[in-house]
Amino acid sequence: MSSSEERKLILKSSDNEEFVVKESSAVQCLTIKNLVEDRCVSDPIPLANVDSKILALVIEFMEKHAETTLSNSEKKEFDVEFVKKPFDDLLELILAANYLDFRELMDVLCNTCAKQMENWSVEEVREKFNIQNDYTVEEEKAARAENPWAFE
Amino acid sequence: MEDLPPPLLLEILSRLGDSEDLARCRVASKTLNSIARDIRSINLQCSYDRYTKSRSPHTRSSITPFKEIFIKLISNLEIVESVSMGVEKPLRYGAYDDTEDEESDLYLSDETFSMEWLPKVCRELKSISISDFWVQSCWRRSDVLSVISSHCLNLSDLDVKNAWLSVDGLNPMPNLTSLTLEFIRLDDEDLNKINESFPSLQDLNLIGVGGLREPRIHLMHLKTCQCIVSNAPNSLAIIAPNLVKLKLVCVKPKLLLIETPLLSDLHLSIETAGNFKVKNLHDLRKLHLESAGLRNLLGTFPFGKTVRNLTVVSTRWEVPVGISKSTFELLLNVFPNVSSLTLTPGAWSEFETYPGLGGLESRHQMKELKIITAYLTVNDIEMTISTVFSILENCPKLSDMALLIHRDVVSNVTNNLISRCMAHCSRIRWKWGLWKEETKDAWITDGI
Repeated sequence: MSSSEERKLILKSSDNEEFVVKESSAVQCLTIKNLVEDRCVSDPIPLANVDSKILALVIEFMEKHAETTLSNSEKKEFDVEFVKKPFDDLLELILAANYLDFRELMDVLCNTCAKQMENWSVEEVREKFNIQNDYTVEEEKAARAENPWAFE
Repeated sequence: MEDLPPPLLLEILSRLGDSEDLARCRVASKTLNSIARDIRSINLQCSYDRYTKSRSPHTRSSITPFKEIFIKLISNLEIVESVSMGVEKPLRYGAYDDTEDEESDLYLSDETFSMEWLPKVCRELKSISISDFWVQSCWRRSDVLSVISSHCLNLSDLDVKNAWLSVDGLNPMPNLTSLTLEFIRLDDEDLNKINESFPSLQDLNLIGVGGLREPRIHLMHLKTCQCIVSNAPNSLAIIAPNLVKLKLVCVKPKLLLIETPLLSDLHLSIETAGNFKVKNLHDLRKLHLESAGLRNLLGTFPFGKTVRNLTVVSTRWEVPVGISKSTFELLLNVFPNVSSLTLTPGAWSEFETYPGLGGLESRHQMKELKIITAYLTVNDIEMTISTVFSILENCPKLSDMALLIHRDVVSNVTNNLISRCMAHCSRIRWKWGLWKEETKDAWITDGI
């Protein structure tokens, strides 16, 4: 297969930046794959929920994992480095991977987040996920009392 | 930043390795609390910290007993599909102050304890993993296998470590596809009960299982198997018509029988083979051979023609006698179609001293070699270099050479070796690395 036969797609981020990718890499995202198979591909493909910073990262992962010359262990080594990002970025990538239906990326990201959450305190969970505490003071006390062993 | 919707939060929470982290998440917000109820797995490990606090008179009363926590977790969930309980690493092996622990608070394979929780969740339970506290479990024989087999009809994965298991009252479990027994004393000398009760097994791991006398694995659906046994068993037989991957580590069985016609990946580590019977390995592609009696073993191995990927580990230096062939020549005789060869330190040293490369015969034998990986000790740089150069000369199809140099070799010697090799032959893709015993291999990308 010569490079002139490689079909390319143009992906456009929410902030109007365009990225050229190989169709063979992009179809790892089922959302894009469905568009291609249904022949509904506009040029460029607008991705309203993904900004350029995140889209660039998704494309980096996508292209690495599409490379047939790399072994599984080389891809794993790449993944280890890829996920060394601030927690916020990982969450944004999860939202993008979900929107694009990119299972492999989802798995790597979710496993990483779960691993990082080891031994987090309640306050850390709230802060890192940007979650409001919707318990009243009494309710929270009761919730803690349900599993006191986790706070020993 | 947009907040994560509940289904994505569930994706992350369901991968949390410890139910203790999940318990804290439940206190973070009502949303997380309700999502947590949909999680179907329990993962509870007893940390060394918890153990020491439960033993110290000051903190003893403020620590919830481990088993009580587990029962509480079981009662919190609607559906439980996977259970994993155990003791953390420092508690698994090593010396403790109380080597005689009469308590049973961490005796996890206790059948009485299992009766407290198994019946409640057995209907949907698919996977059980118990890593017991050896100090409390090694002197108590457990009937937990009987309890599990009579309740958990949908179980597909079972993993038990560090326990003494009886097979009395073990009922057939036709849905079990994966079984791991690690550091277990098993009262099933010849594995008859195991074969009988788990007929659908596809993956079997017996690692450090004691109590075996003449173990015989006879399973029709087995695809992958790991069998690591001590010197104790007299004989070992593996009869598995669908087995594709086998790792077998044994010492000196008087009889070793392997009947696995579809095997394609074999890792065999054996000190000396007494009576070694292998039947029909016509699909063998990948072979890792480790032995102190490598030359003898090679002599009795008739199925080398299909092997493409070969790793050789020689645990004892063997000097060829008189005009007999070098180990390397023997290897290429038995495995003429190898395209990827890995030589570990002993094997490479042997090869350096007795290369036996010369003459048309050898040329013919190495024609398929494409990739060589070798672990070098470089005791004499000129010898190493001349060995490398002669390989290059004798292997026309060679495209990759990956050489790892021992970390203790002086760096200017290493640099010298690397630059001379790379200068000598540019058509080869060179890959360089460093190795040392008990340390992970490290690769440098393109030399220094």
